[in-house]
Amino acid sequence: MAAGLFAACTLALCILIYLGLRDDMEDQLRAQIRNETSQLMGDYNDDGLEELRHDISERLERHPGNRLRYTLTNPGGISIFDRIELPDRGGWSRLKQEGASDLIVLTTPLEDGYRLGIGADTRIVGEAARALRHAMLVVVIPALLLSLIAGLFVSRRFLARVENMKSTAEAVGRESLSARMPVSPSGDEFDSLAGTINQMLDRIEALVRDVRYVSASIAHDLRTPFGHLRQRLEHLVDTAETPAQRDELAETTALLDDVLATFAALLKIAELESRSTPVAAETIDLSEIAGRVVSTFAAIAEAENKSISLVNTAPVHIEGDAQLITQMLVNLVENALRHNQAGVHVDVSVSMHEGAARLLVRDDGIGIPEGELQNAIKPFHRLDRSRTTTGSGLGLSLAASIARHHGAEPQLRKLEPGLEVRSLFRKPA
Amino acid sequence: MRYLLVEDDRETADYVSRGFREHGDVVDHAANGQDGLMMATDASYDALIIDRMLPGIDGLKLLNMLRAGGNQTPAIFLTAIGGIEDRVEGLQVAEDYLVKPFAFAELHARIGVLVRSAAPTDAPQTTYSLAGLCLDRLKRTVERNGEAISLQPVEFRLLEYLMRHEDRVVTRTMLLENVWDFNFDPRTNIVETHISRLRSKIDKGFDRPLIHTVRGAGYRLSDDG
Repeated sequence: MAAGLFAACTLALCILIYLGLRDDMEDQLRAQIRNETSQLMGDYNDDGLEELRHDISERLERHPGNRLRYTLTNPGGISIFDRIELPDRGGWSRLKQEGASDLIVLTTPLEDGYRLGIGADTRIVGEAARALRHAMLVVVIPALLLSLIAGLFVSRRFLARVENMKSTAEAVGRESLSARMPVSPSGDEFDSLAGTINQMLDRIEALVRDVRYVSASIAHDLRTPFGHLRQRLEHLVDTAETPAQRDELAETTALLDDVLATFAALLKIAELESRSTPVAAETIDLSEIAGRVVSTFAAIAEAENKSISLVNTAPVHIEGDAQLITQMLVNLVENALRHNQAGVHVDVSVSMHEGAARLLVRDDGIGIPEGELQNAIKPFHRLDRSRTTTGSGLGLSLAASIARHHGAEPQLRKLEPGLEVRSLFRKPA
Repeated sequence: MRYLLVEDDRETADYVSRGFREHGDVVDHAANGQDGLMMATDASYDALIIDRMLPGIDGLKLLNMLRAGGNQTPAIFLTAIGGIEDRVEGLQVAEDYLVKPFAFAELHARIGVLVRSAAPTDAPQTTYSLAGLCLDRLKRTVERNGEAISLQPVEFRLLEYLMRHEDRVVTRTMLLENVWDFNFDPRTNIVETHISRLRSKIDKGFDRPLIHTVRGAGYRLSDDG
C-alpha cells in the first residue's frame, strides 16, 4: 500500500519534471527570438529597411549552421531569406513544417506593409524531451518497479512482525502471562520495542506471582490462628456451664465464621483477578445451571413472600467453570432477593444474543441510583440502602470477578423500577 | 475406628485427636510427611486425615506416593490454602477436602460418610426404606406408610442423600456439596429452608419424626427418636 503510493508519487513527479523542462526550453527559445527581434528592430528604426536587410544577411553568413530563421516579407507577399509563410498579423505563432519539428515564429509588422519574422526550430526541445522520456523508461520505471517490490517485501515483513507482536500480546491477555515477544538477532527498532515490552511483561508476571504468593501466605498465616481461635471457642461451647453462656459462645463462633466467609470471598476475588488462565474450562449449559439455582431459590423466595422465575430453558452452552458460574448466579440472585422488600419479583433469563450467551438477572425492586451503578461491582462497595441489610458487600463484586474471568464484563442497568445485571459470554469457538 | 492424622500444627492436631477420642475412636498422629508416610504404609487405618502443607513431604505428594503403592485407604485433606485450583488438585487424589478452620463436627461427619462409603456394602441402592418411609430412585417415588408423597426434584435429592446416609450426621456443607453441587457457602439459609419443607412433607402428621437436627453439627435421618 505505502509502496504503491510512493511509486505513484514518483511517477507523477517525473511527469511534472518532464512537462516543466519542455516548457522551460521553449521559453528559452522565445527569449532568444525576442532578443534578436529587438536588436534588429533597433537597427531598423534607426536606419530603415535597407539596414535591416543588411543585418540579416550578415547574420546568415556568420552562423551558417545552427541558427535562428529570418524572413522578410513585402506587401505583395514575396518573402526573402528563409522564406517562412508568415501569418498576416503580428505576434507569436507556431508553424507546422513538413517532415520536421515545429517552428516558433515572432512576426513583427514594419512600415509600408513589410513584415519581419524571426523563428526557431523546436527540434532541440523535441530531442531533449525524447531523451528525457527515454531516460524515464529505461531508468525510472524499472527503479520504480524495484522499489515497489522492495516496499512490498519490507512492509510484508513489518506487518508479519507487528502481527506476531499482536498475537503475543493477545496470548498474554488471554492465556498466559509467561508469553514473550519474539526478539530477532538483528536488533532493529522492533527488537528494541519487543525488548521493552518483554521487560514490562516480566514485571507484570513478577507482580502477579507476588500477589498470589501474598494471598497464599495471608491465607495460611491468618487461617492458622483463626483456626486455633475457632477450636478454643468450640471447646468453650462444649464445656459451657449454663445454656446462656453456651448460646453466647455459639453466637461468637458464628460471628467468627462470618469473618472467615468474608475472608474466603476476598481470597477468591484476589485469586480470580490475578489469574490469567481459566480455572477449569469445560462446556457447561448456562440454562441448566440457571434452572437449578432458580428452583433452589424459589422455595426461599416464597417463604419471604418474594418470587423468582426462569424465563427460558433452551440449552445455551459456554466454556467455563461450573462451580464458579453457579456461584456467580447464586450471588446475583441472592443480591436481588436480599436487598429488596417483600413482593419483589426476580427474573433470570438465559439466551443467545448476537452470537454471545446472554445472562440477565432482573428485579423490579428498589434498584440502584444511576450514579452508583458502576461502583456497585467494586469490592467492598456498599450502597446506602444495603447498610441496613446484612451481607459483606462482596457478593456482586465476586459475581463480577467471576464474569470477567469468563470473558464477560457485567453491566448494571437501572430499570423502572429495579435493576438489571447483564453478562455476555462469548460462545466457544 | 482408627485414623491417621498427619498434621504439623500441634494445636490443631490436639483438637482433632481429642474430638475423635471423645467419640471413642483412636487417632495416631504424625507431625511431618516422612513419619506420616511410614505410619500409613505400616498400619491399616480406616481413614487418613492429611494436612496439605507439611514440612518434608507435603500432603499431596504423600498421598500420591501411598496411592502409587496401592494404598486405597479413604483420605481427606485439611488445607489452609483453599484456592480453586488447590481444591481441584486435591480432590484428584483424596476423597474429600476440608478448608481450615473447620468445626470438628464437620470433619467427624465427613469422615463418618467416607469410611462408610468405602465399605463394599454401600453401593448405591435403587430403593431405600426406613420406618415406613420408602424412596424408589428409579421410579422417583416416595411414600410413607403406603401414602404417596409428592416432592420437588431438589427435595427428592435431599431425601435420597439423607436416606443413603441413614443414621449418620450430615452437615450443612455436605448437603450443599452433594445435593446442590455448591462447593461454596451461600449467604442464604438454603439447607434450612429445604429441610423444613421436606419435614413438612414427610414428618408432619406422623407421630415419629425421622429428620433430626443435630445441634452444632447438622441433620440425621433415623428412627431412634
